[in-house]
Amino acid sequence: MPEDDREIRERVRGLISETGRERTQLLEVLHKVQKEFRHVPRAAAEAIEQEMLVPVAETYGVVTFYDLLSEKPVGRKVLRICEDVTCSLHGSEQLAAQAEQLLGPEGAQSRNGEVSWTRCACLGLCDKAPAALCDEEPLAPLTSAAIRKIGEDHA
Amino acid sequence: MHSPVLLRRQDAPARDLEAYIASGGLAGLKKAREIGPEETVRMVTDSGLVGRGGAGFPTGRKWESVRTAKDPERYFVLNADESEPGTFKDRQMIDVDPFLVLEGVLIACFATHATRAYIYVRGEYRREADLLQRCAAELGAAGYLDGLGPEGHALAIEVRHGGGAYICGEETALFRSIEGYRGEPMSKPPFPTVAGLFRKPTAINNVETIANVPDIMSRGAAWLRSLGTERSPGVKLYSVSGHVGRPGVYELPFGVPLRELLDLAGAQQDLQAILLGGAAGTFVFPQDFDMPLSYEGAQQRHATLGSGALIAFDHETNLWRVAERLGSFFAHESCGQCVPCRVGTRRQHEMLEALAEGDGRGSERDLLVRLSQVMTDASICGLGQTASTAVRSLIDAETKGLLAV
Amino acid sequence: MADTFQVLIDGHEAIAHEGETILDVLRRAQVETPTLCTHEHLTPAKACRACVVELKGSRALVASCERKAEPGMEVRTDSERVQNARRGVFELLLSQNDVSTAPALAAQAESVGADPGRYRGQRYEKGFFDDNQLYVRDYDKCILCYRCVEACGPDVQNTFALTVSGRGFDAGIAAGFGESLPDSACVFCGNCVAVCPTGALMDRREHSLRAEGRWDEERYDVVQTTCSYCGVGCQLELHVDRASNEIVKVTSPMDHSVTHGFLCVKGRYGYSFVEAGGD
Repeated sequence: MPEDDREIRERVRGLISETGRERTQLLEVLHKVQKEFRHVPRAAAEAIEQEMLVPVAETYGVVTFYDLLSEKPVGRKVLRICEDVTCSLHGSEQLAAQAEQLLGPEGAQSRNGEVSWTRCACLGLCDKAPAALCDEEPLAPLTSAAIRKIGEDHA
Repeated sequence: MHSPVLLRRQDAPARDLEAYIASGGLAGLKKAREIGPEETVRMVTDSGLVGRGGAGFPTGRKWESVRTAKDPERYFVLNADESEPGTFKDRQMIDVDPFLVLEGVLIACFATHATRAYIYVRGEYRREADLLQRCAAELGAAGYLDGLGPEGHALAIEVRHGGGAYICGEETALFRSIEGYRGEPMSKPPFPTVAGLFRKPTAINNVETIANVPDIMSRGAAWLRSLGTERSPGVKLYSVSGHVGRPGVYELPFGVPLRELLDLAGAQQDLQAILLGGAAGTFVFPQDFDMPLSYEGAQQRHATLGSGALIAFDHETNLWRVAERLGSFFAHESCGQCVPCRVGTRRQHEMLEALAEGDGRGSERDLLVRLSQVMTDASICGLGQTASTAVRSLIDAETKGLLAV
Repeated sequence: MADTFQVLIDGHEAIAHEGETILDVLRRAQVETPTLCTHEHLTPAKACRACVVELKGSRALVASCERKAEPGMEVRTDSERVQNARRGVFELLLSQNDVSTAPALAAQAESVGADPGRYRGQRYEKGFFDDNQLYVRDYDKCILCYRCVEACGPDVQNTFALTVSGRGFDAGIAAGFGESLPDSACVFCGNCVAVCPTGALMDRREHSLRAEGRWDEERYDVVQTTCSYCGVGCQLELHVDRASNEIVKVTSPMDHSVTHGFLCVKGRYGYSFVEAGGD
């Protein structure tokens, strides 16, 4: 259910006051917004414009620059599957195909909004390849069973 | 057998201050405070320490220009945005010895009179960022930050979380990211030591580089020079992965032959090749496995140590497929600012896709070499300038008949 | 004079003034240098790399539009490396963009010897946006020169309605959050249109006339006048169709001391009353 814009603005104002109003805190604020709303909605950018004097368009430019931020909602749980060299040697492409089958199309939320998955760049877990990140937690080596479990628990 | 220096606590990580001090920690900071900033910088310069992030710039020289800068406002930044494909040594370094890293940061801030320290950790390393944050708080609570800040105040250390963008490992892009902008690189000059973070003099060092500093202080500059080679003093961390039996982080003094590192990591005897230095590195083939792992040793073979990443490939691996993955990585990670990189990395990836599928038109290799020259010469930053290095080395190797598949 | 010094351009001595860019020096020395993103009144974006030169002591080529001249600099514009890089920049652009309304770009591409068919691959398909009455945006023609963002932002207008979004090949100009311009902070000053080098941003009138095959610059006179809306004194250039006596476009000279080429919505677009007749 879409949140009420006024309520979003209010909550974002709270996040800003606990983080800092200076422009240099923008990324930290956006991380918190992303975590709370699973994306950075326009209403959040409006609150940021009012409180931090960062234009709405610029916030959009920043959000779309960074892979961990998104302007569209992602799942409550986000699985990132590394697709770089070492992980691809260890079957990451097959795992991604499996994720597509079990969790739905890449980047989209599952039907109930619980899970989304995406391919990602090297996670620095190459010694445990194939690697993934489930929200903030490393999941390496990623197995078919682990993907299936995420699907059963959340999709 | 080399006994580890940077990784000496890997079997018994010191993740609280008490344990760190009990195992000899903070002796370097004590020494620095005794001899003062100028002597501290001199020791680092004398040790011959150069940046381990890939560019290999002398750390002491960097510090000296910030120390002697006119502007009283200046910064220290720890670059923990480790994102080079195949690289995970900074993660390990932070995980097994967070206080060693932080002690290096404190010494750097002391030596450069830093107004504030920023620790920029890649967003995917949440646990490591949290660990550093907690350890910095412990140091503060125990009074170790007192007097290190401006005008005798306590030093402020801010941990910042990257947003998921390889380009932010590039120092000027990292500054933009801390400032709250898209991580688009700026031109150099001006260099960070003159106009860095917030356009103020800034010393920025990689995690591994800074982890060397406490021991340089406590054991002396000559100690670092007693390890490694004359032109590459000290030790290096290597992240080894791919077709090896024991992937992981290995620490070796500079100058050890590549073959030895491969043996340590349990590589099979007949590898097809390795990729050395990460995505921006080069393919190295068995004929060069006797290469000494040092800056000069790599240079002689037209290779680069880069971040110290090593990915091994067996004979079944189609190296054009590997190159396609590299091409995909750069196309995804290009910030999009300049034409040679924004369009070039895309065209490069398209051609590599065709070659990996074996349905090239035959003209791709020549065109890739041509494109490589444009990207290397005309891109704004190191990403575009090195995005075709590995591909070039692969084309060379293919010409020499070194590819198995 | 203390504030002038010598630099070497392709082996010839040239005078540079303190604060000038290498490009300034090249232009005064009449060394032909291709440029796309740089603009006399905007911060150099150093993004297109068309103006790169070889600078002694520098490993990579440098953007002459951004790099300040320094005493004793040795610059080469005639080396194979420079020629190859410039050619490459245009060849890459030609492989992605529709340049049908960018004659200056096409001419420069030809003059550096760019082969339009050198690279093949995915074209830049960012779409056509027709969401307001004053100008249209055809982003397939956008070369991401940053000019519009700078003009909308701190360099001129301080409106900040536009941003660069995304990354890599997917980067593009946007008003943010899928917004149409009327829903954004845009004030329709059209200064982004004035600085767009490729026709990606185009006044509606020009766009319509082009679509009907009726745009013909040969038929237009440029009439100078002063804007009558307020007391600032902006100079206007009315582009008037000689045959129909209709205004087809309004601009302002880039070298005018009041406007520097920039106008507000009234000056640039508020001209239909002229044709409304007097009765």
